[in-house]
Amino acid sequence: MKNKSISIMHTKRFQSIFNRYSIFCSTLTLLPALLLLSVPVIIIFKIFWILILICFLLMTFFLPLLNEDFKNMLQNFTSDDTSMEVVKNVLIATYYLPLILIIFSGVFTIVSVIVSICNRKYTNSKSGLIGAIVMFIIALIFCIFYYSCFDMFIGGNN
Amino acid sequence: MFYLRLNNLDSNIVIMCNNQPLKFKKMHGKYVACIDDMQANICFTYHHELVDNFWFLKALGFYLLSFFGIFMKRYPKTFYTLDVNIQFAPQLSETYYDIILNHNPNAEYPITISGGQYYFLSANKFIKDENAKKNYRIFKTFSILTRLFVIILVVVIIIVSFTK
Repeated sequence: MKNKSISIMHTKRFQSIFNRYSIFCSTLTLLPALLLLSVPVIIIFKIFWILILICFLLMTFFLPLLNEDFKNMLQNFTSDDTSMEVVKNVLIATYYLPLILIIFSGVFTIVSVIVSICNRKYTNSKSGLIGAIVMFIIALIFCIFYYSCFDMFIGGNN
Repeated sequence: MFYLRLNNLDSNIVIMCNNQPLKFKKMHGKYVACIDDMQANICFTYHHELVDNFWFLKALGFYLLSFFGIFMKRYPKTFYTLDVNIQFAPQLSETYYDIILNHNPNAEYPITISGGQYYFLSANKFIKDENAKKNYRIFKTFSILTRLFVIILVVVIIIVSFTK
């Protein structure tokens, strides 16, 4: 009796480990997609930043005591395109990463679901499972979005 | 024939009927188990996971599977054992027994039943399990030492690779 009760708890623990792996992989899948989304966001923020800098520069006309080096630093920042290049290089280098991660996530979710189905008559393990499945679906949507919009954002470099 | 009814199956307390875990079905929002035996001996059992045979090997397996315990739920700190046997009186008609499982070890009664006739064959109480506490401490010390060893190893490898 003791062994049977403990084995049910062990099955639950086994399932919870795979739930966590699945959620971890799904979360990692979101990151490249979010990085891809950050490309237009960076452009938008740069426009805002340039506007803010223009405001600062206008203010400098009224501040004769402002340091010249600081002014140069602000001016140099507007002609810096390295951040975009870095993001593009990272995205091109990790092109297949979301695909691998989503496959791992899917495998862990399937194992988790099978274990949960085997154990459904003795114990309830829905709470963790629902989280894992929802996270997997979100990651899948992001993954599809990532591959469908990759060329559009990056400009067909790959 | 009689029925046992639970509000949910989230509990770690396992309900056994004739040494087999009882199978519950969801009906009208509650979990119901049907028992055909006229004088069934039902046992409510809970044991800490670290009091099993080969507990260390099993815990080590989970520990390695979950990448040094990062993806694993912590072992519970309630070092108690529950083994409650209940004999139900023969039922003339279909009777439903509503069961409430209380996880608090300080509670007066872990199992509360409302319904027809029954009597407890053993004490309705959690019993403190010192063995589980000892095993838990051993495993905790082992996991901390392993993690420390891995961290030190990684740091040493990084330092060596940078100095070369």
